[in-house]
Amino acid sequence: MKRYSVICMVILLCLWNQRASAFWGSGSTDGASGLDVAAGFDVNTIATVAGSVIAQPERKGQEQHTEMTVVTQQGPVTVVLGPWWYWEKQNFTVMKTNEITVTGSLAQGKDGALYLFAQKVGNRSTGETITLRSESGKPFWSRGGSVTRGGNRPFDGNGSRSASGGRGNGMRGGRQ
Amino acid sequence: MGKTLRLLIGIPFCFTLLVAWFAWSAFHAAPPLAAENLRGEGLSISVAIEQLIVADPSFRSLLRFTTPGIAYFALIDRQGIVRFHTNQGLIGQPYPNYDQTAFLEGLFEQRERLATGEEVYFLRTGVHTAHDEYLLVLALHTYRADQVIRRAKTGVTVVFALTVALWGVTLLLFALLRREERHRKEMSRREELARLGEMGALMAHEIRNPLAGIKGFAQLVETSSNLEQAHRHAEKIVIQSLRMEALVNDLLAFARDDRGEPEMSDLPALIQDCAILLRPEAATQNVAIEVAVPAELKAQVAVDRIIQLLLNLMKNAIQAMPNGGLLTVSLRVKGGIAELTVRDNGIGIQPEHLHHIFEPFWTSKAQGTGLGLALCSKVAEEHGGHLTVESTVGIGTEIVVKLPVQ
Repeated sequence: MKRYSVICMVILLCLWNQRASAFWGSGSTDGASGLDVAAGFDVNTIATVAGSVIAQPERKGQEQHTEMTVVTQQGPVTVVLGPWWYWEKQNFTVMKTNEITVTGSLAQGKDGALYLFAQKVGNRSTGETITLRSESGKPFWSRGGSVTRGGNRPFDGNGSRSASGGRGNGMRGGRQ
Repeated sequence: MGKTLRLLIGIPFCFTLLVAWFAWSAFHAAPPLAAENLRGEGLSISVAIEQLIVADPSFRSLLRFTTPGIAYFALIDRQGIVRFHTNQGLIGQPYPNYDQTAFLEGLFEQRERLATGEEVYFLRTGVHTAHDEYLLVLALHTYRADQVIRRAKTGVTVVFALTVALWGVTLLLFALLRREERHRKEMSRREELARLGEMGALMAHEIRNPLAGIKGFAQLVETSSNLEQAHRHAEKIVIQSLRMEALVNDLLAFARDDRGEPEMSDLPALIQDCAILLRPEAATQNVAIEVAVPAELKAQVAVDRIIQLLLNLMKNAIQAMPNGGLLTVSLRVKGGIAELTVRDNGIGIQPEHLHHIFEPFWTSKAQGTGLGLALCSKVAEEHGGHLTVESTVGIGTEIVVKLPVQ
């Protein structure tokens, strides 16, 4: 009797766990948002948001990607800044309460929160800007860490030139 | 146990079927509902966009048009050039994989995953101005519309968890019942063994006394030279043998599993027969027997066993009146129950003995086997009835046998 109960419980737990294990096996997909935090970017959803930083960039998740939170008119937006190792190298300072402008691919996670896969970040408080992706959305870290820095120039919205590599950067269209 | 088990398994099983059906139907109704909501939202937005471009063909008013549900939208002309896009950097570029037949398809919708990993609702439809026609490509966030699916999933999860918990409790109860049943059987077996041992000891004791008498008188007969004296000893041997025979007969009657074939019999007639049978014995002790029974009362009984019961009760009553008395046997029917009352005005039973008188081998008499009243109780139970006793020392005893009659 006890043996059968244990077998039943194990089967139930295995079934229960199926959804969770799907995430573990799916590479760079973030468990909470369901988004591709490592390489996700869609040129169709590029938007620019401006707001105040409420959470500084920090390392997050299994993918070790960088995230910060900005309060905008649309509400809080989680800005995905690429891999932590790459972000660390940039020496781009973002402090709490800094006013920043971010251009990137906007997406809504399955947790209902807004995520912005940053392409360009401008810190209006310090005057610094950084471009993390090409205009077509190719991440710079995927070609060896080349990056366009604006130094103390005010953020003017002009990005760096396109680069090859990355994924998900084409305009969607035609027959699906 | 069988009925309990059926209930124990049946109730959770029915509950499981019910909730499974409920969860399944709720779960399957949710995605079409979400799709319907998204279609409704998409069509409303497409109508709004059409009105805006009719009012302002330069599309400038579209720049200010936004709703929280829109992931992006674009207008493509018949040449496949993007005339408007929420990402203004894409305006003027050719629309990838453009197919002019898309204009003829009417409404096209599907869910698809963007390169960000987000699943959106994708809608493509034609919109018209006074002079032109455009293909509207609209992508909507699905989070809000999918709330109904998430709720259904949560509901299913809760129901599933409750069902698992219910089955867990059921299995636990089942295990407890099984353990209780095993425990009860073990106790019953131990009690049986103890009773067997006790009965064996009592039997040995009951047989040893007359056997000792037989042996003693036989030795006297062996050594006796006087024929008359030997004859007296032989009579004693016969008496002791009869006592042993009575003990064995009572024991056999008590141990008999065969309840006898029930047949429709007249209870007053059986009582009268027993009274006639015992009157000579009663007369030797100056005991009168009075019988107060109805003229006829038919009942389905095992006649041999009922006669054993009547004889035992009446003999006990006669033996309880060594100095004479009155034995009354009455019968009446009350609410489908036949009440047979055997009353004597003898010596009565000590109050402390009342709890033991139906136990096998318990007797207050010097020569009793202790099986008579135990047998009576057993016979009454075999017929679906029972015995009650009331007694007052020095006044008498009344035993009532209640038997169901049809």
